[in-house]
Amino acid sequence: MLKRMSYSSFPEDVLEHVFSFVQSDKDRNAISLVCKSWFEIERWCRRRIFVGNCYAVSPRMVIRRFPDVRSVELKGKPHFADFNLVPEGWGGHVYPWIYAMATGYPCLEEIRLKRMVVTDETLELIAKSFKNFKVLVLSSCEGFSTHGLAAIAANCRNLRELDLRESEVEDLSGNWLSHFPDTCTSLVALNIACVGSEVSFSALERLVGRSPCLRTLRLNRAVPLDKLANLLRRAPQLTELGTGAYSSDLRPEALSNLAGAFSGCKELKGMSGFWDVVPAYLPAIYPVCSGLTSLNLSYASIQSPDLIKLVSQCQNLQRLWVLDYIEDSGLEALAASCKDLQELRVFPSEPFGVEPNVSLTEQGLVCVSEGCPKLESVLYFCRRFSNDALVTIARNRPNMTRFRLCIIEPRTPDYLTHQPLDTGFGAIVENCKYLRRLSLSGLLTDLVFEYIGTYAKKLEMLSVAFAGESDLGLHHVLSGCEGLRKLEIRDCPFGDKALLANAAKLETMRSLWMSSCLVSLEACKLLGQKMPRLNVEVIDERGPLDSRPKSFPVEKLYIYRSVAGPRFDMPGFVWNMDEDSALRLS
Amino acid sequence: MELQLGLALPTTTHLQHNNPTKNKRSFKEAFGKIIRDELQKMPSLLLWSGQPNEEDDDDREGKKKRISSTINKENEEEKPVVGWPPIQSWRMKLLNHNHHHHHHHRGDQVGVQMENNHNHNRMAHDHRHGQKENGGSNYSKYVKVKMEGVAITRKVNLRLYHSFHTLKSSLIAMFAKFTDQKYEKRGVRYTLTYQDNEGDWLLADDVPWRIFIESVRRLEIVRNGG
Repeated sequence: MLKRMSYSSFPEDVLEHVFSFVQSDKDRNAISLVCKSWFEIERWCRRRIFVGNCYAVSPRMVIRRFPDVRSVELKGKPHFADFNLVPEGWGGHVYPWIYAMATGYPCLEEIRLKRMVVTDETLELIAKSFKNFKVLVLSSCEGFSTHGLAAIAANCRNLRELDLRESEVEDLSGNWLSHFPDTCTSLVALNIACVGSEVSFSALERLVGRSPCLRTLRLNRAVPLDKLANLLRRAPQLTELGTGAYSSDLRPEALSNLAGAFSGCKELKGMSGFWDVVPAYLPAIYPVCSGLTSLNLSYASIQSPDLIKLVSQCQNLQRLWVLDYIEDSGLEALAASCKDLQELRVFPSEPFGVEPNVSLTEQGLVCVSEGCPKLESVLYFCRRFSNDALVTIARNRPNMTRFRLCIIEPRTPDYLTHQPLDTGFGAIVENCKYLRRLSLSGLLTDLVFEYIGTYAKKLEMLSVAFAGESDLGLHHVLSGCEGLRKLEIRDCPFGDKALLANAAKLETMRSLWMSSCLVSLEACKLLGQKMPRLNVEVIDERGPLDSRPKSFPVEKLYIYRSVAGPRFDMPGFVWNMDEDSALRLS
Repeated sequence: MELQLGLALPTTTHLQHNNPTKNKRSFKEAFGKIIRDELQKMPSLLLWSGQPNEEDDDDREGKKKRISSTINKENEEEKPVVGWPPIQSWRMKLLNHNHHHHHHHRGDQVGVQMENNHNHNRMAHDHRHGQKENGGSNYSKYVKVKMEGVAITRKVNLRLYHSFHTLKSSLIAMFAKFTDQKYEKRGVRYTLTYQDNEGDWLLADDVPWRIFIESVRRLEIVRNGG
């Protein structure tokens, strides 16, 4: 009692100061639940918000509760949109948010968006609405062109970060970079790697030259290698560099000039790019290799021997992204030389080839799991796997937090025993107590989901494809995985019973995606009507739903919790399952 | 309704023999325990009643499986399943772009190259190959190479070679680590065969290098017993 009184006896500004040290969203949310006065104080001093689903809350509600936000992070489309499973025109428009924030948050400084539709009009509105705007990160966004970028460049005088990672930019003019005024000297990060066309190189060179704080520079493929040395000499303070095309007709002296420029970059920690790389030019980066902690070679189609030479120079590597050209032999070398490796991603170079084009098997990953004690995050594409290998990896690396394995051919069994991979993935969830993200592949029965429901208590995101046998599989996951936030399923025989029996669970999650499963329209309707805080959206491009029998499985289903009610921007192929009840109530 | 009937597939049952679900437990077996132990405690819209319409359920699953099996089968032959393997669309574009780029890039020294069989891009590929054949690139010519008894198919840039001798020894070195050592000791010899643009398989050394380079579409290294 005494304690409680002493809390409220703190002056408001003292509490506000204390709260300002609490950075994590989770902790801020917890603070706001303590009492009414803490709720009030906290909401006035919340400066950054993260909204994991732009339809889960309306911009108006956010602005009403948090009146003085400086940094906003929003996510739009479901993750499966990355793989073309979400039809074009689905939604995820950011304009309504920017429109509301333009008046609600005039002091907004940072906007970070993922998988959202951003128009040029939106970028222009950002450029003219926020006077002290500093950071724009557009991750896997689409819908805008270089015109919109020009508006940002021209008007955001204090811009620190412009990061277009993996976005789709329509190229109308390479000249947009020259719209940065000469007075703009504040850039810390510039990532234009996804921009297709040539940029004005002189504008780029001048911009880099007048940005003394520039730390991250990621160029696009159109920037040739012979321009790189000059850029590096203007920005020796860089910590992250994405090269352009890493090939050219370099004379020997130009190559040594490049090596010289690299050796001036003492701070370099991360490198990416390497488009069209010519292995003969790679020694130019050897001077910086020992300092590198992050290396993205996933655009570099070079062969195992060349990759081995490069990787064994980088002994402090913590993160490596690479094509499967590295092969088992390269991963063996990696395991021997990079003892700090935490994250490994191996992408397929020929995902649709019928025959394998490289010798990359489960052995490579087993090797890395043995040799790299800090390995905790894996994305691995290959063509065969075994339960034995999974069990070994699980025992070697109980510290694994993200494990995504894609065996390219769906429903591939253990290549040694021809059994399902249930026990292998079971070992992963049983041994890796802190596993947060898991993607399954290969032949799997309901048993694997029983393991997951039993052991994967910290799992936050699960991706499932071509797996399971019945409703029981889905039921195990929904009823067992206490921390589950996102579940995405495709082509699995999961249906109504598991979904309806776990309806209440869905309100504790951010979203559930199910496509080509066995959920009936009837069940979707029932779920939508009974669970008013869930938006149950059926996505079906085959025409009006009424023309089908009620028990017919829906094509795609996206369920998410929302305090904003049904969204207003649904295209013709999306149906919200509580519309009927909404009409009845109005 | 008629539309739906049109979607129904021929009542083939043989596909189900390959299905891992053939040994599926009955619904009551599978759910009986859960119903007793857990489900009644859970807030849910639908409790498993203990008397599900098993027939109906199985029928629906069966139908669905037949649909997806058929789709998959078609896909294997014609085009990949949408969104599988799960590679981000921008990365997919890059794979295609790489392929395109390498056909035209000057100074390319990469001997082996990625390729993409993505059906969606077949037109684009054809277009590119067309360009190449019209003299678009003198710097790269990629063909697939197989060695008898090795599962891996490589792609090689023939423009990096100038004689059958260097090509052959380079290819043998490339595949050597995958071949069985004991055959090597018995002195296996390799013969370079190729498929020309008319689809005929020929012995490489039988024609002049220049003609070979112009007409080769595919290579295979054949073993001759030792």
